[in-house]
Amino acid sequence: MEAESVDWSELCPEILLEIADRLGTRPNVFNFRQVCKNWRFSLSYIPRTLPQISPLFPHRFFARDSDFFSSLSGGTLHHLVAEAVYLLRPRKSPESSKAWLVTVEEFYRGKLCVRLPLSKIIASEYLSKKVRFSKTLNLSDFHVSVIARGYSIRAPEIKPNLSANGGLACKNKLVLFANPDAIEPLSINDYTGLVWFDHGRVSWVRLARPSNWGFLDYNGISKFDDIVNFKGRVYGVDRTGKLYAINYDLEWINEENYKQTLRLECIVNDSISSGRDGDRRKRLVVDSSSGELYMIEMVAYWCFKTRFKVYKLNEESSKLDKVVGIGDDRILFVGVDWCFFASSADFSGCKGNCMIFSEESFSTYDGGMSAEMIFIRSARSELVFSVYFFEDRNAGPISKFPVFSDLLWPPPVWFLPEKFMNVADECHNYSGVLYLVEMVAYLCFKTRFKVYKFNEESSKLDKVAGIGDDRILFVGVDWCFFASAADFSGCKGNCIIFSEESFSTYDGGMSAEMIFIRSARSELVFSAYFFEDRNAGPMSKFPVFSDLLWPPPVWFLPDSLQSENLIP
Amino acid sequence: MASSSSSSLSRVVVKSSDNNLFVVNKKVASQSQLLKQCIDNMEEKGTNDVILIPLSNVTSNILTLVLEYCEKHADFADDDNNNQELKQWDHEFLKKFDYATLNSLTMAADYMVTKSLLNLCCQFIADSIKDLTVQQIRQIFDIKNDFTPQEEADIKNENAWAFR
Repeated sequence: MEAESVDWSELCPEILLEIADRLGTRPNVFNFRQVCKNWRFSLSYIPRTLPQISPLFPHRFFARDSDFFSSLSGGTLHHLVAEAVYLLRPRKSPESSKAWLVTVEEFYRGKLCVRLPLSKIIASEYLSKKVRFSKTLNLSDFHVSVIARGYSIRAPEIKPNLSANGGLACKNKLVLFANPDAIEPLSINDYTGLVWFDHGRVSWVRLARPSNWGFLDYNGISKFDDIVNFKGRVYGVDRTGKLYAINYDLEWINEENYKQTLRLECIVNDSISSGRDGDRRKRLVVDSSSGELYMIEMVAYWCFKTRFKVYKLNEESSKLDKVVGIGDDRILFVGVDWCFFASSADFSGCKGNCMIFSEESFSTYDGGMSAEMIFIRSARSELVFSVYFFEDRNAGPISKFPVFSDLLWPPPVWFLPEKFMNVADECHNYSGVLYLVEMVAYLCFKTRFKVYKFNEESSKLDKVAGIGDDRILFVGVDWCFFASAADFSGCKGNCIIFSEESFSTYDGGMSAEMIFIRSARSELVFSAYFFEDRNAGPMSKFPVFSDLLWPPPVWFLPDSLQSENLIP
Repeated sequence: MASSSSSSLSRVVVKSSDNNLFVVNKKVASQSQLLKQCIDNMEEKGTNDVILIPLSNVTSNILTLVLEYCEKHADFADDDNNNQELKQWDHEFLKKFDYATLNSLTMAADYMVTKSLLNLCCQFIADSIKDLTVQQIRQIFDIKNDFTPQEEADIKNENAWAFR
């Protein structure tokens, strides 16, 4: 079909504005305005309240259905928020500007909130008030890739926290399910929200009014391990490893009236044989690039011998085929609700065929944390992740793999707005010589220590360069001692191991740079500083030191703990 | 020529820019505010003759499509229940066309003030742009980059995240 003068750049401004109004999100409008001059001038600026992540969210509603929503929270106003994981890589990359895998949510239209990695916890609510992040980030300085998207439900009375029973905000997973029969563009009324709770039940609620709701049930099976949206349809796995597809259906009340409901269809009917340890949440994960659905199962044979099994859905044979790993080109991330693949090519220096997972993402059904998880857990309280390599079945806390932990937390220097300065001091005593150690934080991340030796003759403090290669200095809030480096095989000398509070500021606040160099493990809040090259970092980055202190070695554990998991 | 005493027209003739004539039922024509306005004006004057409306900006190819759309929507005009079926039809309707036709159809919908068709076209175009890179958009719509490097750099600086 031929048509006259077709010049898309010459569309009249009114039509261009109509098109721009329907683009839905900030990145789409930004791209639109980059196409050509005429398109750009049809829209003089990008509206401040245009959503960043998803056109329909945040969506707020009052829960009138007290039965359903009281199971979520006691409140009435609920917020469905879009969330995303982005990979930010600085375009100009000096050594100091590392990549960051940042988890954000959009509670207010057009504004992002940084969360702790792969969690629902808003970072600013968790960290000290003194830590402030940038208010804006100019994306032209970065390569930005969307690694994963999701949604969560928030209510004002739900305060996420890090305790074991972290409340709703931590222990549920929201999956949105658009009615396949709905016609584009979709509105909020075309969606059903499915909420997985850590007790295993999955409730669903229509977002249209009046909101029908119910619990998923298949011939009496009502407990599920995970739900995902795969190719526009929702899939769930039950505790025995049977896989279900969830469909929209109508429930007829009488000949004329019906209401919408969801119906389960069992598509993989074989139970997964997980031996004696099938007491633990299995996870579903979708690889959207290859269009494949995987199931991950954690099998803890005995203490310290954690293994994972990977199954891939074979849609033709309706089976879950066991596969050996996930492939060298991919890294799998698993949080309590987050579950996604990333390409290892995007993370320079990171090996593929491995999984980064939080300690709660494969929780046991009885809610207890198993002994092996306590010991392979990553230590940093904001970063409770472990790494597992499918190839050699090696696992360990993420702190032992700086290439991964650096990617997640703390945020890179370029995300901090201000330069900080701080001074603190403390006295130390060694073999008749009195030392004074002063911490000087020039600017964020540029922590340095100065050492002075007391010269009794001249009554002066002489500045010295370091403490010598033969010694290691330990500084706690009260403890303060030197040790001989020779006693600690593999440990470099001329360094200081210090707790974050041992050089406290006079006003008692924790300085920003300490929060970022601090070691993360809540039992092990130490950092290491090397006098020679002035390098500093959380102790978790120096396993040779951290292993020395905590956790206790295997031989210090009672036999009962080691064998606990052998009992089915 | 005998004319009825009623002052209402039952049909109009629309002429495309390439001089083809289309006889259009009034109910169908009313889907276009431009045609409806012409009809209303003539009815006010009491004219009973079949009127001819020339559309100097619309070719017969495109006019055929606009009228196809108007006919479908006129059929459903009194029927609220089949909203879903009409939505489905709309959704399929635009899929058939290439981008050149889509462009002409959009401009014709604008010119003929067929608001629902214009909305449909704009939504369709917006949906095809979503999630594409700037280069991909330029490619599918055959648009040249007419920014200077300085302007391009300025635009890139507008891309920022706001935090709270």
